[in-house]
Amino acid sequence: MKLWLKIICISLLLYAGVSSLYHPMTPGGLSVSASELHPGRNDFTFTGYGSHFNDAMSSLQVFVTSDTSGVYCAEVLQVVDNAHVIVSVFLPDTLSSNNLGFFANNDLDGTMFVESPLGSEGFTFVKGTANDLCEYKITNSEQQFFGFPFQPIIMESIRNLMWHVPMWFTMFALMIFSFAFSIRALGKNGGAVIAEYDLKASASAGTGLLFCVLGLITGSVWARFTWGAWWTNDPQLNGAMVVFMVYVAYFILRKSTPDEDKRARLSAIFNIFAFVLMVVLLMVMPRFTEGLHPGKSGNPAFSKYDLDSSLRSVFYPACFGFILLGYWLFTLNLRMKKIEIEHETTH
Amino acid sequence: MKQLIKIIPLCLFLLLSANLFAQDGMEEYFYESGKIKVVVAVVAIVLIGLFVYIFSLEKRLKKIEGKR
Amino acid sequence: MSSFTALFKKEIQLELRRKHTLAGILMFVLSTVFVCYLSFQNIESTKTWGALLWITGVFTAFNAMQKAFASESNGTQLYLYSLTHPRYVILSKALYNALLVALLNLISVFFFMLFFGMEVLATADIIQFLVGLLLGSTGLGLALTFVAGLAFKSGTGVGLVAILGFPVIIPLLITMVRHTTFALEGMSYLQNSLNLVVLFVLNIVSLALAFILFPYLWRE
Repeated sequence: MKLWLKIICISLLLYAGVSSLYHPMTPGGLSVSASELHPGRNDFTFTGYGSHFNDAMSSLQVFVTSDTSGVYCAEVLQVVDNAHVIVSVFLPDTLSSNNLGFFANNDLDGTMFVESPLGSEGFTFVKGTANDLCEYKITNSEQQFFGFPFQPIIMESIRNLMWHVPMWFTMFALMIFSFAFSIRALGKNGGAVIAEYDLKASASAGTGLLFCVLGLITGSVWARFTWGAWWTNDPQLNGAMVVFMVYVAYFILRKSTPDEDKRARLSAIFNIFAFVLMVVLLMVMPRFTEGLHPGKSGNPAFSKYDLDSSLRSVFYPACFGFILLGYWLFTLNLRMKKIEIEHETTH
Repeated sequence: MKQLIKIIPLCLFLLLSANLFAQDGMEEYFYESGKIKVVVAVVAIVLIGLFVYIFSLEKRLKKIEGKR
Repeated sequence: MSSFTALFKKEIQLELRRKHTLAGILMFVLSTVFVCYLSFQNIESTKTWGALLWITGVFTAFNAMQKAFASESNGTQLYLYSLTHPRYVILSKALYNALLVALLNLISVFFFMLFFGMEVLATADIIQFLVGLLLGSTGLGLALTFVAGLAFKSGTGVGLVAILGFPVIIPLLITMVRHTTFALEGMSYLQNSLNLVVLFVLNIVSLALAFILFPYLWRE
């Protein structure tokens, strides 16, 4: 592989690595301390993540909304520290609905939002009940603070985007190489050329399998601390496991065919089968079914609403860097296999 | 056969220790500080995986160079 | 076209001549259903019924495929095939196996109904269920015939069909189990039709891939 490609690969991965770990998170609302609200005065603590309640005390504003119509300003009782503020809000008897949102706003952090499923007793719900008395401000946090978007359950682990997802993109790229080599291996009529392409197909499939394993392990770890389980019954996860099994079966087939010409032909055929299966499992089936894994309803990877511009600025370089790394490892694997064959024939 | 005998106790220990994962201690360790440690774990897995692969390549190379 | 029908007829004749292979598979189906009957006595939920049906169905298909290419090592077969294009070979074999698996699964459904009675199926949409069963079985037959061809050519023996075949049939398996469960619970045609379409498409994809790739496999 050319030296300039290697340098690009290393610099992209260094940039993505450093950026994914040090790029700041946008402040967001973490939780509210109340377990239920009732008409009249309610005191609760608003907890933020990465917020600056203390530093921007003068511009701090906390309010509660019911749907989009009713907004009720809360009075700040005490700013405990940068992350906690105790507030008191007065709620009337009638609210628009049980759909409550808790907002905090200041100049440094923009708007932080907590959606908390609280119980509410003693209210009557009339849709469209409005309240004009509160002057509130909602600003787009991303404009003020160019950080990674904050999601309540995912929190900091959104940085995993740069480490887990490129594994799959790299695997896909390597399997496309493998597929292309397999097709060439079937087409030509010369024995040496077939063996060459077959070796390349096997090397790229092996490297792709490495990235598949890494993707599965990192995905499982991420899932355990986000969704609570090491594995869920999701079509993309199950599909990824089946892709792993299919390519392992590919290598078992290669091991069990001692004759070289036959091995080349059979494994090329199975590789084509396996690639079509992978495309069906990872791109076609998830579009038709529901699951926990992000990016459903039409696009199994990402819809344009999923990927924020700050994330994209690190994600695309990371993907590209990992694909280059995958190609680099493939060339190393290929050279190793060639040396091993050469060594076997001369000894 | 020898390798198989070595693997069986390892599998047993892994299975036995699997129910430890249900404890809260591990969850707290990862949940605090906003789950940044989950990111650290994932990065560590990726890097360790890649380095294991590179080391296996080196070992294969050494085996051949040793035989020459 | 005539060579295709001739090959197809040949497959059927061979099977009828060596009845013991078919009988063996039927015994497998019967004993599986009987063991299920001994353990369960009475099945209450449709999900269990569907699950047991497909466990039997999948392993019946694997069983039937072991013998699919067994007769090929005979020299006369190769002479026959040198007269025709390998595409006809795979087409006849695949379609024959697809129909065989479909027939075997119908027989196993019959055994299930015999042992466990028809009460569980009271809510089921029988026609939808049968269509799904047929499409799933033919899909199994088509995909596994091709994998059996690969395994035969590699020459290592029968275990390879299972190793190679299992990952290959998983999309088919997921879709047909889901369809059967919904059909047995009585879901309407419209809601379940997407599964049927996917099953049909998977059938076509398996047949197309086998059709395209088999000549490369058969080159001697």
